[in-house]
Amino acid sequence: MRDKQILFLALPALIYLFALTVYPIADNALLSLYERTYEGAFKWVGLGNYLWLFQKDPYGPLIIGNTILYSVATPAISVALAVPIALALRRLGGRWLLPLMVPAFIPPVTAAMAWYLMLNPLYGLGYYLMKAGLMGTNPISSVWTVVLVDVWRSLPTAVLVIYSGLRAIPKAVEEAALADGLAGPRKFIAVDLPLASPQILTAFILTALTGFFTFDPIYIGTAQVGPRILDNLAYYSYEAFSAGEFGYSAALIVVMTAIGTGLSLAYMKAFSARSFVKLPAPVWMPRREAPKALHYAVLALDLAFVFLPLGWLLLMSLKPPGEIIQIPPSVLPSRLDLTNYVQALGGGLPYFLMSIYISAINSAVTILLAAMAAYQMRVHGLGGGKLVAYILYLMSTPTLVYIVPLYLVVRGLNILNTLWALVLTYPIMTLPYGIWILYNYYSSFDRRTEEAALADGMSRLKAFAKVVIPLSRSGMGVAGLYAFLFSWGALIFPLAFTYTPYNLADPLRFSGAQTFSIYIGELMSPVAMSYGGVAATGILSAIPPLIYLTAVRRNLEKIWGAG
Amino acid sequence: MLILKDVVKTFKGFTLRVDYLEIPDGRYVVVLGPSGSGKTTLLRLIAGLERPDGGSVVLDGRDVTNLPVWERDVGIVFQSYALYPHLTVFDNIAMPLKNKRLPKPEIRRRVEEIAVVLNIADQLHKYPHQLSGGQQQRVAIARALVKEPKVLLLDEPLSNLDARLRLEVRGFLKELQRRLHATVLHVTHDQEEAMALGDLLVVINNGRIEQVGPPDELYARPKSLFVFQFLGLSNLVPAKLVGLGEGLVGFRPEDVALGEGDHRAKVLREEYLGPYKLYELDFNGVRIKARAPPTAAFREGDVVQFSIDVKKALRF
Repeated sequence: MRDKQILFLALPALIYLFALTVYPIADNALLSLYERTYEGAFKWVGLGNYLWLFQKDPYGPLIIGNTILYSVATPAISVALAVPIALALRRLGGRWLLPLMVPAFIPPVTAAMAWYLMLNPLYGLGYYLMKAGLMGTNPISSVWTVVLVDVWRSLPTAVLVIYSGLRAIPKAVEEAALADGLAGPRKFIAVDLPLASPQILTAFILTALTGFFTFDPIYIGTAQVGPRILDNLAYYSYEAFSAGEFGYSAALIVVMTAIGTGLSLAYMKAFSARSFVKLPAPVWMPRREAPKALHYAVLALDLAFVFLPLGWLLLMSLKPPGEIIQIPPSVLPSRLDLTNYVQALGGGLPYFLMSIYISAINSAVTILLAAMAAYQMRVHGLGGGKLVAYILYLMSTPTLVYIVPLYLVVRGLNILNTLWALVLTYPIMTLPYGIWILYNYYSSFDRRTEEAALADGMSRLKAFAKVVIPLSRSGMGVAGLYAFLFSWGALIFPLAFTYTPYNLADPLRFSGAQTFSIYIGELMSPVAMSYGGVAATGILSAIPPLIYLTAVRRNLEKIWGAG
Repeated sequence: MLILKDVVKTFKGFTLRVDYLEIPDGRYVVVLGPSGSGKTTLLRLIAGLERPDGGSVVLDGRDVTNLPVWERDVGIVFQSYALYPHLTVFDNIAMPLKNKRLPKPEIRRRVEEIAVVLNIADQLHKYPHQLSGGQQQRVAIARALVKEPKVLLLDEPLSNLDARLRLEVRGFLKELQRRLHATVLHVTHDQEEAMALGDLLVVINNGRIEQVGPPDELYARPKSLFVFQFLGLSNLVPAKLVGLGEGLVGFRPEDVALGEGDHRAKVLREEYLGPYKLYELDFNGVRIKARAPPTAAFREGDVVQFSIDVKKALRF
């Protein structure tokens, strides 16, 4: 390294990432070979935990079956739906992309909760679906509801990736296809599909990761139907963790990490590969362009799919409490009533406050550290391709991997159940993503700006602070959006590291640190029976990310290539 | 024969209007114009990649104005070549034939034939990214020619090549056209390239055709100031200065004889260009260029006498 200051700037992010990811991943593997006894001591059991999962655990087949279902059905359905939607977007213009992206910006807990409230056969639209015979079984206890929520959450990503692939096809190639007699569906098969195949594969792997690590819909669903029905490896390992079976939980997580790493490697390969699938040009396919009306219909259906659960949630949150549960369920409230919001804000205040604190702190920390590291990585080549690969790897590993070792760390530091536990751990979720976004952003950054500042007599640190940072605002805005989004919707870390709500009687100690995502889970249980309150909480929880989304819309569209 | 009649195409604030244009068979025709003149639009209208707002495009007596691209009997070579990156050279060239449902043996025969003509017969199994730029262009030309089109359209075919290769490909294109007796329509903004290649030049400016004719005719007898100034080097002076009455007079640097004559000018600058020298002169406040043998020895600041070949001078 020619210049120590380059390393110095990147160091905070890199030290943090290596300390808080490498150690937990290694420690987790070690823990999986132990069993915690009733007295709390760790006893060596070798591969006992693994054997238990595959041979003895009575829930083993169910867990593995569900995991496979979620990680195959979600990408298959998402990608199958995303291709026609991306085609419609290409034909009708990218301005439709923003509304379609909304599900990716709703906190996952809120998304799951909205669907469960809507499909409920007692007080939701599910009543009418059951009555009309469109739905045979109770959707609340069906694994397919989990798949449905996952598809809703992951479809925008699939659409975005495939749409960008279709847009990347050079205009001249499309015109050459016309000259060669390829148009309409025939051209789609012979040219579009093969040339977008790397992006389609990428979309498949990304949505498969969503399905494989799915957690929030199971958390919400389980609150309604009880345990061991919807569980997958992720949720089951969390349950084992919260029951104190650290060794078994760690073993489950190791299994997941191994599969997840395989998927991540496939993702990285798909991401960098430029090889195309080859399809025959089918001369029997028609050459007529699909009518525009068909594209509009596809778009309209997707918009309905996106906004139906959110609309239902809004209607429900505005109903007077007496109208929430009645048979048959009412669709429109008889009058607009804000009682639910009063209840949500009353009971939910400590949770919301804590979510706001941690989201604000973590977004700021992430933006700053990520910019400092990403700039040096991109412009000065710090760390080379290996570091970039590690960042990509971290992006596609679930936060679940860290909970067992980090729980022990947080407990050792005596900050369990405080804001500080969240401040310490949250960047693990957001920093890799932030670095990746800014790494791409800086690819078009003119390094001569920094060199001019150096020539004018600034040190590298000063040049970074006075020249690079001010010029990075749009990239930092987008990185901040994702950091805020992940922090705001986080569920696993607060579940693992907190157990009481923020203590408002002694606010400056910042102890008790449960977030609103936990509050939603608690309200969803049939014991609480507070469905109006939970709907209002859900609406409130969707507002901050949507405001942020609208604020940085322009910059996002630049990155998406929609504008 | 390709005929364009009353063709109009309007974009935002730009209109291309072709009252009548005839492209005779078996000729190398170059459409020449500055960027934004409408020359590419003209090519795209013929190709069928754009539909005119009015008028008709007739190819060998058949009105093709509203036919899709693939039913027009035109071959197009794109500036960026636009090869299919996922297909081999063979499959790239075979694509138009496959969509015409020709039998497989015939497709193979014709692809191999055209590959020999373009000297890429040993590249058929490769993918486009494994080829050099020049080879990719030959594949693009083969793909356009394999369906035996009535007109071959070339959109700025030399602009993606480096200077040395450009001369080579220029010669190759002309020889290919002669060998196949093809009708070629070549679009470019480079006047030297246009004059070197074209049997017929179509000069276009601001959406209007300025003049059509063989290059020597356009160079010697331009119908408009634009054509005069766009083709080669030119001088334009008030007619009074050279004693030819009112208006403006144009003449080429090679029609200026330095050394003796009725006019006087001051030498501003000398450019040595190998076979000849080019002088920039101040002629009563107007800058003019003059061509001289490489042995000429005028110095900057000298006042020289010169004459103009009045027979070749043009009035504007």
